[in-house]
Amino acid sequence: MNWFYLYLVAGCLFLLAFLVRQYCIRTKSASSLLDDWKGNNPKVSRLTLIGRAAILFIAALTFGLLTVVVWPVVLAIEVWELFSNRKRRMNLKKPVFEVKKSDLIQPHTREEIEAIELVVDPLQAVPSLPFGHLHAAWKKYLEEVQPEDALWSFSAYWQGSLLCDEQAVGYVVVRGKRIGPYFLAGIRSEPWRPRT
Amino acid sequence: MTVQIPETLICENTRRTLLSEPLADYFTLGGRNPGLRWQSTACWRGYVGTWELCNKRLYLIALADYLSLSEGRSSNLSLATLFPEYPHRVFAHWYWGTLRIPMGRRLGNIGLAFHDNCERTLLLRFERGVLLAASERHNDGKKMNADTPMQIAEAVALLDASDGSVEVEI
Repeated sequence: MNWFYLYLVAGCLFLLAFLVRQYCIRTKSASSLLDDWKGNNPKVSRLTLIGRAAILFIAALTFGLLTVVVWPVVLAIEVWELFSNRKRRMNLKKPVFEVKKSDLIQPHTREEIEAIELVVDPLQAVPSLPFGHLHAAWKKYLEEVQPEDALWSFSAYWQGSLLCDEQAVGYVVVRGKRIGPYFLAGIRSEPWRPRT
Repeated sequence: MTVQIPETLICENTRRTLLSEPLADYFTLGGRNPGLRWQSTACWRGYVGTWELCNKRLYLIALADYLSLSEGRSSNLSLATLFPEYPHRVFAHWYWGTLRIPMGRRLGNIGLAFHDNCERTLLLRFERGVLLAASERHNDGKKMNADTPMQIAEAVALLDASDGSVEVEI
């Protein structure tokens, strides 16, 4: 019998440690549990405050009792998630975008580019400068361009996200036979289409 | 995964839910990011933007942080935070993508950030912040996943028409 009490005490300690860990993870979002639950569910939104509190209390009590009783299972799941997440993070290396020679379109002078990319708006909601609101980024990019560099326009397809391919357009430095730093002017992406 | 609070698109005084995030491209292209961080699992991007389609051009006209909106207090974040010289309206010339606007009735309560959880989706394709083409995608029935091209004027009229679509409330 003593072993059974010891098991339950260990379960209570585990539940306490589990809740502290969850609190630390979610400390910046006190309402996250409610957000998860509510989402945009109009049925839930219609419930009274007492109704919501009652459901939350019952859910928390059930969760607590279950965890105390079957805490080795919860511990095993936590350990498994920890290792599988680490493995997943190692496998999911984000593809690094790079411009290849086959992506180059044509050479431009800096003046030509700045004339092409001049942004004008009838409502004057943008500075009338090359690349408009991104002008500061363009100026910063030009600091990397050396006098002997050639600037080429490019258009490159790449897998920007897990969901769709993207087409990046912009300008890139060509240094002799090498391709140097690039400046992105736009990203075309088609909306995700569910598989049928 | 928690349903993400969408952006809002205003067209001809009608407010619509917008399932795209044109401001994300601004940051990707090198625009200044003042360190926007997630405040809730319902808003990983950390902000909620209001956009306007005016004369085929896309403008960002308001920006707020999710927590302030959900708690009904004034937002710490505004257009002036990102664009100090343009506090009322910003032309989204950096946007080359396709806006997704849900139309018709909802097909269910649960939907993911990238899932069109409605009868139809209006697709508006932009280049340099200017509307170039429009089409409509069917999300259920026999025409599922079929894109039907339409005139831009037709799409704008559709945005303004009341078809029972509901803007998601924050």
